[in-house]
Amino acid sequence: MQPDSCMSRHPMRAVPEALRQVPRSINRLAVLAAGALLGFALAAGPVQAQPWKPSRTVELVVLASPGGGNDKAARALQKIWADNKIVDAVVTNRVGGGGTLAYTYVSQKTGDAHYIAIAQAGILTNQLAGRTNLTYNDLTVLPYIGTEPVSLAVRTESPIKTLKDFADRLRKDPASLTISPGSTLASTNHFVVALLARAVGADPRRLRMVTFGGGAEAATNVLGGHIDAMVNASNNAVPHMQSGKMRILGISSPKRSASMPDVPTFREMGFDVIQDSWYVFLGPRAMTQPQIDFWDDVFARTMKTPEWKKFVADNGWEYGFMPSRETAAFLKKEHEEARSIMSDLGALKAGQ
Amino acid sequence: MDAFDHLLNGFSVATQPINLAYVFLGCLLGTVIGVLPGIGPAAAIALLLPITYGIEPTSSLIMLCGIYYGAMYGGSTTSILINTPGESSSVMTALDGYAMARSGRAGAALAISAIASFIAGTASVVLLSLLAVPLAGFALRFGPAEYFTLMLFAMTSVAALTGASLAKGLLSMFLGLMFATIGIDLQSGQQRFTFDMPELQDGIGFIVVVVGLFAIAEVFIGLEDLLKGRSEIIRLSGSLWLTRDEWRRSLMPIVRGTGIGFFKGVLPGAGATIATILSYSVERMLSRDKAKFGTGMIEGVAGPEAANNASTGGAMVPLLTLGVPGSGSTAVLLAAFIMYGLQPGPLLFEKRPDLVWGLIASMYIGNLVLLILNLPLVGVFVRLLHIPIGLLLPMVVSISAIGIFAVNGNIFELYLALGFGVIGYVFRKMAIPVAPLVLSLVLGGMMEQSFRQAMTISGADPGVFVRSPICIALLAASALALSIPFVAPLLRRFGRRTAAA
Amino acid sequence: MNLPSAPAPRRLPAILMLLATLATAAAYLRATLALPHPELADPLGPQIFPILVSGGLLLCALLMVVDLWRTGDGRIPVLLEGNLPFDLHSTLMVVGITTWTGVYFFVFERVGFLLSTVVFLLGLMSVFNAGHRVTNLCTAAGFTIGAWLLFTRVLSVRLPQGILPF
Repeated sequence: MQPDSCMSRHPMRAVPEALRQVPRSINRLAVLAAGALLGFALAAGPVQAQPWKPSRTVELVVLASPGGGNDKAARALQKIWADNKIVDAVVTNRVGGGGTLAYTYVSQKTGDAHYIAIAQAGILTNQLAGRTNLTYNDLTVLPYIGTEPVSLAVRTESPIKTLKDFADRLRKDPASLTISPGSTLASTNHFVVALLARAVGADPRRLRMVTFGGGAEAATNVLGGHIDAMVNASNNAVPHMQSGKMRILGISSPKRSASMPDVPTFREMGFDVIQDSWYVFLGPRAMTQPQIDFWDDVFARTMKTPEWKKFVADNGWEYGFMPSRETAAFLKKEHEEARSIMSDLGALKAGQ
Repeated sequence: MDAFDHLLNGFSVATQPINLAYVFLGCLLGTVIGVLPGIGPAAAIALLLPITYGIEPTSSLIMLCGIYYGAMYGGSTTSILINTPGESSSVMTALDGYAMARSGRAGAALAISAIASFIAGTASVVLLSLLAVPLAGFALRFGPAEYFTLMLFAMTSVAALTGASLAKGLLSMFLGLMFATIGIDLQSGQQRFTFDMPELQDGIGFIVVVVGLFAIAEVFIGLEDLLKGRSEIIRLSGSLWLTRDEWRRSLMPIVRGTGIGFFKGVLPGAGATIATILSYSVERMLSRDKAKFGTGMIEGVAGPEAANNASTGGAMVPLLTLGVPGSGSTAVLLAAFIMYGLQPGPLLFEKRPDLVWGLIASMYIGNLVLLILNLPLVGVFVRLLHIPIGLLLPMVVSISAIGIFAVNGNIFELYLALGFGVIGYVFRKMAIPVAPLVLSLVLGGMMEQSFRQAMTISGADPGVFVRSPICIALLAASALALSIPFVAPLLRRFGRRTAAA
Repeated sequence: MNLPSAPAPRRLPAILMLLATLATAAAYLRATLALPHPELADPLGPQIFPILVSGGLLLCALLMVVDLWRTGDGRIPVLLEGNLPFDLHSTLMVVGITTWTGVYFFVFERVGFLLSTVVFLLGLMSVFNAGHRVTNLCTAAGFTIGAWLLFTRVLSVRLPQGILPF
């Protein structure tokens, strides 16, 4: 393990850290070896490969610009990994094509587990909408690291008091409300309203959706009374709810969120709508099992750190972790659901 | 407690030695990185964010604000010296600032830009301290319809930037609008003119266009002149400092620019950019030598620079009081707040007055630090112009490459910038102004989207654009701005006749 | 400036500009009309604004024709005011620099910042600052290493590392 220049985010620490890494990796090696042996014993498989560990600095690829969206999560992870001596990583921003550039970049590093990308639902919807040919099958699915609850919010002065009021308006006339899903049509935010419309028997295509530059801009327009409601990641609405300017009608998570225990879920209110804004990791195609095991282990350990728990609480995330295998099944299910909703919305590209 | 007591407490936070050190460090780093073509304040804050990891939140935010101010200032330096604005709000500074530098008044241009920034920056923090809470609701009254009329008004000022030939100015403007439509259309989610390239899906970035049209085109022109042996060494004429006449001419533009900047800065969106365009066109309108604008008029530097820096104070109003970012830079600041577990908004004023008012107080100090830091640096920066062109210009290309690559990590953007460099070279040869293209690229996208947002909300009823007093006022202002070139000569003739009578 | 008596701007480049504007407007309009009609969209749709912009470009072409006939104070057509002459030598130079810079950008990430930048700078400097070999070498190397240290070490900004091990 060489003192790689890419570690230079904390240049002063670069060399000692590399030195300190030797005993640690031996330690980790031991853990992994034990795990591998156990796996061998259980699976009684043919030949168990050597455990894998990074031989140089890992690149954590982010689809947003520095400071934006999932860049925050990536930088938090990078810091946790550096402070706890888990992995040497740098964050690189590959911005463009709603994540397509970042995913393509990683997918091209075939078999090289030093490149991982943080991904959101765009990995499914971009392809379904015909914006790219790249699918999650072109990459290796790594763990699921959590989710942000999606909330439906109106301003305090709004005559819509409850989720039921909102649903009634949609049932009578889906075009009677102006709703912003943030910056993207046919996104998971949009799906929430579409699913609600479907649940009350309204045509999701008639919904009047208005897109803005992002969640913050949508919030400004709700607060100013220019649009009726917004549906997006809860951290856009929670602060305004706390200051008494907004009312959150419901969240589309399976259960209530710790950051807003008084807000009911859609399901509690009798609407079978579950749609989260999840985060998963992806690696290049053709990763080996030991490489996948390595990342499963890293994320499992990271999720247990107090720093990660603090990040989750500060950003209004919901804590959650799934190892790679479960995540792959999860993505498959999400892909099917996205296809079905997008077909209802008329956003599906022909032939998908 | 009223604002004044809060502010005193704020100063006791901001003047702690450690916080003073962070203000200074932030201003210094911000200036250093902001001087690079291609890196504006938003990118500077984002790139330097990791440095603040591990610092206590108040100090860290104080430092980030220092970076914000420093980068704003650094961007003006490159506009003046090498004709490369760091962000859309310093495009106007380049017009006359660079012309001043070419005629040997680089020192004066840099000095007035530092002084205008200081005066306007300080005045806008005073306004922020006094008006933050009452103004909070103002930004919320701007919905899509109001934005569209605001953009329309701004575009009328852009159209007025044309030179002798209206055709060339409009060509530049419409090309900017055309480039603004490339990418995924927000309202329909459809790709437009992307040729199936994922690199184009998010549109053409402003930085890429500016680096191409300004910096790289300048390299071509400069090297061509050098090759033909007509490259003049820019001799400094007169002192580095301002003459008495330059002082006199700058004073009122600074005052007007400050007012325009602060109130436009409060509006989310392109507040700072619109403020600089407005300030420039106001100064030109009021000037007796309209034709000389663009050839090195100090009013054209002082006004927009004041407007630009005053808008930073204005942009803090919606950020601190509503938790709504008013610009790209404040959006990154908002991300930093959240990273530290702080949510800007009215509650922050109640829960953490030490932090909010400490931050505001540190802005007073930051402005002073920048003035102290930059005035002596004027002499150093001016000396950059003594580097032989054959050495300086290749380095400009390289620095531009760093600036573009560091932000999005996208090599394709470098090729795009090079392409725009060639376009910029042709524009220069054909005497087509580039500022309208750059400004309409920034404003055009917002203009189209806000128009369609308003029409979606109103159910395709155009009446929405005359329904609020703000819209009507802005429409009237646009009509006025368009008619001034026709009406002004009539008025002048009328005035002459009455004077003669 | 002691120019070798600049020749009066010629009409040809201006006429080419006019034709290029017409061609751009036509191509843009064509591409706009070829956009598919999305099922999921706002009432106005994605085509109206681009159509207006192509109309604007056509208007520009019309105004250019006017400005080509109209003469201003300088007794030359308004459209030619301030134009600088093109010449073969400069055009070749621009093509050369563009190609060299394009190559630089192409290898920027593959070869890495340090090597590509030093070579790129040396190349341009040896043409445009010819005869100062030592100065050029020192400036190119000094600038590149300085920028590298400043960004990667002080400012924590990542630059492509490329094939070098550090």
